[in-house]
Amino acid sequence: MKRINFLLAIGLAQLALAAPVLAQSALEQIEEAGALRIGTEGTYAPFTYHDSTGALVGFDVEIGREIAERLGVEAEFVEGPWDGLIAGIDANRYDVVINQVGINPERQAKYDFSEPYIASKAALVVREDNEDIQSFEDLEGKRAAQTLTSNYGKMAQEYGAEVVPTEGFDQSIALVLQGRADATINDSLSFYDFRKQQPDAELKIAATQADADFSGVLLAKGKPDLLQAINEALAEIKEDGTYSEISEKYFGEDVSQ
Amino acid sequence: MPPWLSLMLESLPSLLWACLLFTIPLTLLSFALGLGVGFVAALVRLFAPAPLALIVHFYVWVFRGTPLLVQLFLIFYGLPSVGIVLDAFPAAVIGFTLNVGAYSSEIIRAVLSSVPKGQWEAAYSIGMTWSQAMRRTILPQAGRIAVPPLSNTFISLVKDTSLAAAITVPELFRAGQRIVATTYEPLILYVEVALIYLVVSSVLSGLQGRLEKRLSRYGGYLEAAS
Amino acid sequence: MIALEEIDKSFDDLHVLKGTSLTVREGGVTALIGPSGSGKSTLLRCVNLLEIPQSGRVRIDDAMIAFTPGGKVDRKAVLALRRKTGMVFQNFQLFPHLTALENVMEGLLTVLRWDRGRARQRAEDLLEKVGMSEKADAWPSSLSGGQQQRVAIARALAPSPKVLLCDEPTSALDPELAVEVVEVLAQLAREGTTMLMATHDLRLAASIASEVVFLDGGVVVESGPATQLFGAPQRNRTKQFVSTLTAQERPPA
Repeated sequence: MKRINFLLAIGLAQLALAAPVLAQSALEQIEEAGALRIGTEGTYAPFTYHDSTGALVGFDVEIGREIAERLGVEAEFVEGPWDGLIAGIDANRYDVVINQVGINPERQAKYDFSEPYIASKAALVVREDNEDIQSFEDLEGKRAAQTLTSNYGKMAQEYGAEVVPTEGFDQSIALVLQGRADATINDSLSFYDFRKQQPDAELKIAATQADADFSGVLLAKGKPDLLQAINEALAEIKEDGTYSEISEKYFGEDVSQ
Repeated sequence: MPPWLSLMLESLPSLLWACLLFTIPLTLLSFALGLGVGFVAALVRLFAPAPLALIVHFYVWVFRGTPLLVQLFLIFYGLPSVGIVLDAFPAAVIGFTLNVGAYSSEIIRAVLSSVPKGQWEAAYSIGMTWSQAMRRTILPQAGRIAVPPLSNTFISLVKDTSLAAAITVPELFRAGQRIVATTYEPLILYVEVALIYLVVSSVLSGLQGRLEKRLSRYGGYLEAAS
Repeated sequence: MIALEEIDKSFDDLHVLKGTSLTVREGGVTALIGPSGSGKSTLLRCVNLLEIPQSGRVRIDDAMIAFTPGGKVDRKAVLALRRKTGMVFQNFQLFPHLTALENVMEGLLTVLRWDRGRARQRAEDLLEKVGMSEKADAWPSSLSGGQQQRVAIARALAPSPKVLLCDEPTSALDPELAVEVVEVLAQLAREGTTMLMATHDLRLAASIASEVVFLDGGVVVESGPATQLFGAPQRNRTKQFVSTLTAQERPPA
């Protein structure tokens, strides 16, 4: 009996010593590198954009910086257009994507999401003089300017709209203003930011979604340590009031619901 | 000051910075490397044995027959599927280099062939080797003839670097896109970006003209060889 | 001694030289004459190996290269042989990106690796010899045909070759301009420069050649001293060919 216990003890001890020597987890790699690489657009105000000094700012950007800080590393942002952003995870160009990535079943099948860090309501934006479109259902057969792989793009398709592909929010807005598209669906928050910049633009919100969609930090599957660390960081950020601060700064309200 | 002017002035520093940091280095690097590739390719097609020449012929055919934008996307977004992940700037340099290489190889090939065969014979007749003849006799003549078409390739390249925006290189055009994204003033910003490209390419055209003038002082080789 | 032995040369299906042999007497001018297509230019260009024969031997002094069909040619041997010759071309082929002086200096600097001072001196002497000193700094495109050809002669002579090869040296010049070139060649002949000249200008051949070789269809029909070939040709074909020369134009017996 004693002998078996002794052998077991040695076996366990060996395992315990061996574990750290086995393949490094993603979290450990990041800690070693001292940087969390974050993929983001840089052209989607007020979430990720460049201010007049050229610095990268925005709600998502600051959340990203806070997460990195809690992880004890620097935040390193890699910018790119929306439609190629998630593919960058597969190519390991960065560790996570923080860019208002909506949590949906399709994406969850291929990637992991953190806990939601923001709730957004989809808004249907049309020209001020448009009386034809008064609800999402009215999109049937109309032209909607959207990026191809976004949640909003899919939503527009589901309502039967003909999608006019663009590369970002500002282009979609421009098409609606120019009459080249009848409407665009996007986050109500981005529309409000647009309003601040262009108070005279002749656009209006025709309808808003009742239920909110949630966005999370996107990462590749198979990184449980990293996922846990990010969720812990997010929880901390919400608890210690940092989240409210950032939220007020950009939206003047709490956007976690 | 009218608002459009103040927006232009405000945006100018970040646009010029992007131009200086990315557009110009991208152009210079890709052109220098591309010329090297083009020169080797031209020599292979003119002088190397058939199998090698065929490979080069294939490369030139592919890169002249497909759009530059598609080539860039292939290198940046496509290669990761077979395990090759390149950063944006190197991917752009590779794409532009291969493209410039293909086009310039055709120019160089034509220019080398246009030097009369008699010049080779004259060089050989005074005892030069192939490489001496190339270096001392053929290239100086071919070089002068090649200046106009290659300058055009260079100036086109400056403008083509705007395509690098599509594979996330933060050069001039993308910098403009970034500013439009927050100001929603596409007309003002894109006019400004276009003006910067215009200034750069005009300066280069001017320099090209001066270079051609300087090189023509000794007269055309055609008259001497007739 | 300069000799071509049993030279066979074809261009694809065209059999231009058929076992042709030729010896060039040192110190004299040998003219290759014959109708178009006879192979005289080709034979000339076999001496400095601008044309590589399929078979035969090329000999200059103690340097000799033998050619066999399908055999490999040693590049070093070719260069060594070539450097004993100088050539003057029908259309001059001066280097347009160099001045007249630089054209003459080029071979000395690049091939023989002389230092600039020595090369310049030699080039200036040669330009004086051909009467082109005043145009030393001129670009070839600003020179007349005759002037260009004279510079070309100086360039060919710069490395003191064993034999000066002239391929139709006056054929691209109108008669007025040809005169100055002929004078230079005649002067060189008087000084004992070994020359081999292919030309369809019978008057030129008659006036400076000491030996003449008549080529027809890639075969030597007749060869001998100029006086004999022009004055009293032995073969009918030769008679026919040189009959275009009037009595006054023939060299004195």
